[in-house]
Amino acid sequence: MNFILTMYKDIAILLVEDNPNDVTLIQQLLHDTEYSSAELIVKNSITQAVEFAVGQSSVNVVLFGLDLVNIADIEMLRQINESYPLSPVVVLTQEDDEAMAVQVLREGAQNYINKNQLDKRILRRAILHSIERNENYIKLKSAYRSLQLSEQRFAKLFHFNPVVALALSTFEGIYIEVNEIFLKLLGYTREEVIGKHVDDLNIWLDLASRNQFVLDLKNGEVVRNKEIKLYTKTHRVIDVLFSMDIVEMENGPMIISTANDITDRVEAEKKLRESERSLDILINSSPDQIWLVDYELKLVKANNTFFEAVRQFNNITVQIGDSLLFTDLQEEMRVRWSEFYRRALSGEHFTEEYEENRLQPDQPLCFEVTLNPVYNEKNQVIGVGCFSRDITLRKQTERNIQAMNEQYEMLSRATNDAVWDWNLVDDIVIWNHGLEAIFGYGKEMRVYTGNWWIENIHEDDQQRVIDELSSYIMKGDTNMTATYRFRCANGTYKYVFNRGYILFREGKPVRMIGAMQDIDILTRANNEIRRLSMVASATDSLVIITDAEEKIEWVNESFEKLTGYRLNEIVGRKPKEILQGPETDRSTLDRIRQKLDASVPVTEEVLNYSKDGRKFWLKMSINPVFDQRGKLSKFISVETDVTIHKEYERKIIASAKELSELIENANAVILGIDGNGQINEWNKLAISVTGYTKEHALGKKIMELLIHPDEWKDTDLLLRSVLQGYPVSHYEFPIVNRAGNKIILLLSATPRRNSSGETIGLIAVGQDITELTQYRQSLEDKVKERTHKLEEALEKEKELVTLKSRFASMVSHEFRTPLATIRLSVNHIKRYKGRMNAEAIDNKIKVVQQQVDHMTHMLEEVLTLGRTEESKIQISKRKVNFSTFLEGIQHEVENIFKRSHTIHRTLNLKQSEIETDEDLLRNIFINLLSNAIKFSPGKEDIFLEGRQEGEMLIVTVRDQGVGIPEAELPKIFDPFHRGANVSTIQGTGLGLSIVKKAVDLVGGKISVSSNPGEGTVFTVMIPVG
Amino acid sequence: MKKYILIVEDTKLLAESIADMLEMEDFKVKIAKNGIVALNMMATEIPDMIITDLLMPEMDGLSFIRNVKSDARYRAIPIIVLTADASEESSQAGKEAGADLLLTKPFDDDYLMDSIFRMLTNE
Repeated sequence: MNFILTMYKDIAILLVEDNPNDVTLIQQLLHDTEYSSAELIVKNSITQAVEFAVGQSSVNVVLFGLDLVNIADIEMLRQINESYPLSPVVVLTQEDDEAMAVQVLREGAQNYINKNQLDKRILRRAILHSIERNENYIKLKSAYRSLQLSEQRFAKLFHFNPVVALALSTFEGIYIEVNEIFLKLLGYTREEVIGKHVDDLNIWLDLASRNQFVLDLKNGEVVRNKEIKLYTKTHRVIDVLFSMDIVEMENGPMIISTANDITDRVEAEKKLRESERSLDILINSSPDQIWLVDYELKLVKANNTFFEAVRQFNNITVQIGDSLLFTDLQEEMRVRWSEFYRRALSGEHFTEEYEENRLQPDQPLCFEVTLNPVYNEKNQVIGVGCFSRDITLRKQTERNIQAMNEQYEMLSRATNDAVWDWNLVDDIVIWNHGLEAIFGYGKEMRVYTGNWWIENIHEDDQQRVIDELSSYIMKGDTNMTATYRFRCANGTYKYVFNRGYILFREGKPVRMIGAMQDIDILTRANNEIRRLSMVASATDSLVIITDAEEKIEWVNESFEKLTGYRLNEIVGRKPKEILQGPETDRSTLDRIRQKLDASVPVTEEVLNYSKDGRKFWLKMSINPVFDQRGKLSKFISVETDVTIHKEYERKIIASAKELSELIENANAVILGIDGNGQINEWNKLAISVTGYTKEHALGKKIMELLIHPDEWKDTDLLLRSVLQGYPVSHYEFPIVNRAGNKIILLLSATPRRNSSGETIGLIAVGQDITELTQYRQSLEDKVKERTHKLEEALEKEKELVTLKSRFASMVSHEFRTPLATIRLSVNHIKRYKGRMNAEAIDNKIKVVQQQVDHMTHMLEEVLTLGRTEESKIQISKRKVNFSTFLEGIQHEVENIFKRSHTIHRTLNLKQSEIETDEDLLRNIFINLLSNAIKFSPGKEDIFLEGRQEGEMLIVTVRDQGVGIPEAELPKIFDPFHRGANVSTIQGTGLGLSIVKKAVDLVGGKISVSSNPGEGTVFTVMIPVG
Repeated sequence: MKKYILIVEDTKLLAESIADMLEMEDFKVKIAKNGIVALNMMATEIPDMIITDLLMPEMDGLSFIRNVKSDARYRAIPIIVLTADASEESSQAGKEAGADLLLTKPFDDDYLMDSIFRMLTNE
């Protein structure tokens, strides 16, 4: 067993033990083993041991006396392990506690020995065993260290990422770890979450879907970007984008869940949809044409009535996004509408009427349009809301009433009384123009007698009138009235109503002043008003007739119905006194006032109040009426209840404004694209995310502005599919911003339809998830790295196991046979020595010696390798004559194999001497040449060729033997590896690994090429100095 | 007449050591370095017993045993296997091929002798 001595004769053993008796005991035990010559360093405290480690190369083994009574002792073990990371630690203890023993081994101790059972055999084995495993152990440790590093990086990523909520949980749903974002998002504290089961925390609205996700994950499916709802601690519902991954942790696979808060985006999307829908409903329930244009006069929104009207009048179909000043538009209309839009875009809110005779030239339609500027929150006009209603009927009514009124006025002018002044003393009667106007008697003022008056009274009424007059005078009444027929100049009679005032002097009548009213005309005029009222009643419009002082003379039934006032309560009062209220717009009233004072027609919309205080909007057209002499006599006002219109208008403007604000200010990127792929919506966030302003973006093709050419195909497919009517959700949409950086938008896009349901574009709501994607990518990388590291560690472990089993099989194959021979030979002598002569006995002993030598050689190979692996071999360079050296090796090898093969040596060197380690060189070439011979049974030519290239010697060893299968080539330098086709040829499987180590040590390189059945070539490159 | 034992073993030194011992016990012994050589030798003289290794070049021990056991002339010859492979699978394979006794190297040579005598007397 001398090899162990050889192997470990100069090892250093550190004994950490505070009990002097135990120190003595161990010293004694060691003395009895092969470790008697080992350096034993004794430290009687942890502190000393730790101090010793500083500045000291590591010891081969640490024996650590440890009283395992509590967890603090484990902590001490940890300190020792940290101070001697490369040395195996054997714990010596008094206690016999199995759980502690397990804990000790788990903490990294190589072995655990009960002091009470300690003897030299156990101690020896423990030391040997732990040193043997030391190298493997260090390899494992370094693998785990890198694993730990990767874990730290993972943890950092887990905890300090800025955007995503993360949770690590078991497959059963126990939360192992969550990050700050998770806690912030859901409103919990760490203590409330860690260790809890997902069932216990009311986080999931739909726990079943979580279970489904876990199941999917187990089945190898991807759980990514699922839109789900979660409860916060305060039971608020939030929308998140959810992904799950499996990650390999130290304690086995776990689930890592990531949740990204998209509540804002979902909310924006929902509001947008609702708002669009309600606006659609609102505008389509109106019989008026309603449309909204942006500041470029492109159609943003319109109702069915509008589309229908455009189709009818222009014979063209417009779509959302089209310019409304389209090329086919009639010139007159273009001029008119350009002007309208210009006024509205400059902030004017106005109403205009115009006639439309394109459909029926003889019967023009009349439209009234109202344009409302739409403002953004910065009070800039961003569009115009337009309303157009057909007022042809109302106009008709207005015109009819106007016509009627003129007739009435004519009549009314004719009813001017004929005023007379009768001087009873001189019997002179003076008449005014009424005599002419009513009865047709001469233009000039002339003097009539009382008799003339009496004579012209209809003869049937004459006596009655005289009697009545006499009766008034008799009674002394000053006021008289009489109704009778009076003859006109043309001989016809008219009914008159005569009123008079009698002046008396000293009891006698001296003068009478009076007026004759043509009641025939009055009756007819009344009839006209009645007819007028019938016309006026036939319309829903309100009709008010006032006198020149604006006092009400007549109102129609519609007026009574709407206002609640009866005609008789308001006759003689002014409309403004009864209809206006606190909210009536003063400036509008002022405008009306000015127009009325100037006696010109006026049309305005005014808020009025009914008798019971209800508000309603009236659209009023007030027309002044003049008498024949051009004097203002009346006002006729035709008024329409536009409350519903007004309400529509208000709602629509508000709604359109809300929509535009919603789009503008949404906490999500919103962009609209028309059927041609041109951008027609572009909100604030879109600007900030892409760096393109509205001026840059609107009207541009999205492909050219935002999409990288590599993505054109995918993007085109996506947009096309939406434009065909299929919405998409959560599409990861890569764009390139103005600065040229790639940005990922998480996009949901829905088709935009016109009122006939045709798709005319799409609106997309997105969220910038670049950071999220990058983060997820790095997380995935980390997960991969971790898995890779773990695999690496496992691979190392597996390698070590294979190495051990190879060693075992080498021992079994290569040691058992010589052992069997030795045993047989020894027993042979024992059994037959009486019958054997000296020579026979000598032969047997020779066999034993030969076999022992063989085994020693094999062991030395093992040890050489072990030493090189630990880099314990000191390379010592000397001048070597390479040619002489190779020649010596050649003869040596030929002799070992009893000249079974011939080695053909060719050398072509520039320098004969090189500077190298001769022993290592020996190792290399003895092994290579021995192999060449061993693996070339029956092929006796071996070629050893050397040449020099610059500073390198290139030496090849070539045989024509069995060769190496291609699959084995990468493994041939592994320790204990033996070719599949050479199991019958003796060997340890160590030769080539020794060669490799030796080549490495002298700073050279080795390569191999081989063809099974044809032979093998090893090429060694050795530096000359 | 001396019993004839054929040793099939590629490690010359071991084969010779066994042969020496058997000769001391008065057996006739021949050595073959692999299965093919052994089968050739058996064609001229049938041995009373075969001692064979398992790992050998040209024809390994298991194929050799199967060859022997499938030949009516040799089927009755007892076979002792000496193997360096201590594994259970290996001894199972040897038994299945038809070996009568399996010994793992380094084997107890007293036990080997006893077994040889016992197996040959039983016959």
